[in-house]
Amino acid sequence: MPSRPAFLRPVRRTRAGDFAGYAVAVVALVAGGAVFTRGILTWTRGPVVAIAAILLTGWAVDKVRARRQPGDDDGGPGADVDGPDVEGAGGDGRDGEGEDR
Amino acid sequence: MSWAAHELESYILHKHTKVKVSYLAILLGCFLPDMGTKGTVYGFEIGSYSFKPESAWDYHRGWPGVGFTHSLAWGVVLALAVLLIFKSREWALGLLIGQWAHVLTDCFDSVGVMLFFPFSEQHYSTGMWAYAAQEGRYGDAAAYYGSLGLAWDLFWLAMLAYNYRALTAKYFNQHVYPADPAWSWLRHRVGLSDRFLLALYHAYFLYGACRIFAWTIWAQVSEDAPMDWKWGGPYWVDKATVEHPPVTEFLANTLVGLTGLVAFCWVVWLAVGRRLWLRTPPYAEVEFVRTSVPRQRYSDENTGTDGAEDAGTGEPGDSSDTEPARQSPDRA
Repeated sequence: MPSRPAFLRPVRRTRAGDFAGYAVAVVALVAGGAVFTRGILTWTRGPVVAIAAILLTGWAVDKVRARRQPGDDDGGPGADVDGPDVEGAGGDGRDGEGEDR
Repeated sequence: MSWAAHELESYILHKHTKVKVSYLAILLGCFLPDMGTKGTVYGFEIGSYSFKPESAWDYHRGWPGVGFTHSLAWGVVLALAVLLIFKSREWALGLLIGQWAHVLTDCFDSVGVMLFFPFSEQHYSTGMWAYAAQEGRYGDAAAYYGSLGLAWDLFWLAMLAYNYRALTAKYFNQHVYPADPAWSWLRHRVGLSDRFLLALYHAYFLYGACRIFAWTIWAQVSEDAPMDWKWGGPYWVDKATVEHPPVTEFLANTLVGLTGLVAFCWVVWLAVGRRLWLRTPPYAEVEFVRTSVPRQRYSDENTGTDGAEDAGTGEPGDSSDTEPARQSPDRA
């Protein structure tokens, strides 16, 4: 598979990365939406902003956490796993919350 | 017209649908009636060419116009087309549910929809808030979020908060992902990460919930639009309404329309729908199972007996103790 930007590469999700990503998405949509209105609040741009915020922020937070805790396998670029092979995805019946994949 | 309600209701509908159905199809169904029409309802300009309907509500919800997209029969036609072309029960059913939800949700503004078109052109409306698309996108937004439209969107947000389990990763993994081949395709073929898939699932919830507050802040702060909680408000907008006929005529129209719709569905089901439905198998995700069976022993046990099965010519169920017949695309 051709190389993709780092924030698109599959990494193990962490609760902190998820939380930060969703928080940034909410702020971007509410504050940005109130200011830019149609610049953000359309059915195509709004979800793109949300997804971009979640991915970029989650990736950044996970990277910072991995630098601070080099021994921790959960959630850093060092914990990269082979995307589609990540255990726990796609209806495997696991809990799926937090560091679930 | 409803705004964020169309995004938020898709999650609730998926959670409460007791059969396997595609979430993405419900979402698409919730958008479809306005997808190709809303831009033209507000009007647009391309270079020197501009388009704006003379009567926005008549064009959007009436006939002639694009009002047929807000009818129950149109949902049936779309679902049949999906069943015929894409051969997916989950998508056909999801699209039908989503489209019908959109139509029923739009009954609450002052114009309403032609539920039983083409059998009846009767509009059904509760008049809860003013239809104001003729004021343009911003005028419509200010009117909607300055009236009971805001309460309507908040109602759906509260309903979703009550059904918060529909938003959890566990629900996504157990009920959303396995019901739709599109998720598997996105994961295995496109190579999207798990975080990406979950973000995609949550995207329209975030967008829907946040835009309630964003548009309300905009309307109250930037536009200084007075909030009017009265039924049929806001008072300050020139709202569009339809003339309601006398009760007897209304009931007669409803009877004709309902009978026509039921007969149409029945005939379509007998003529095409049932055949297409039975020809289309339900989607079943096949999981890849890792095994640690020693190769040598496996070949010893099957020498000369199950050669055909080993070559993949046996029935899929026969090799269930080793590998399923269909592997995930990335493993193949």
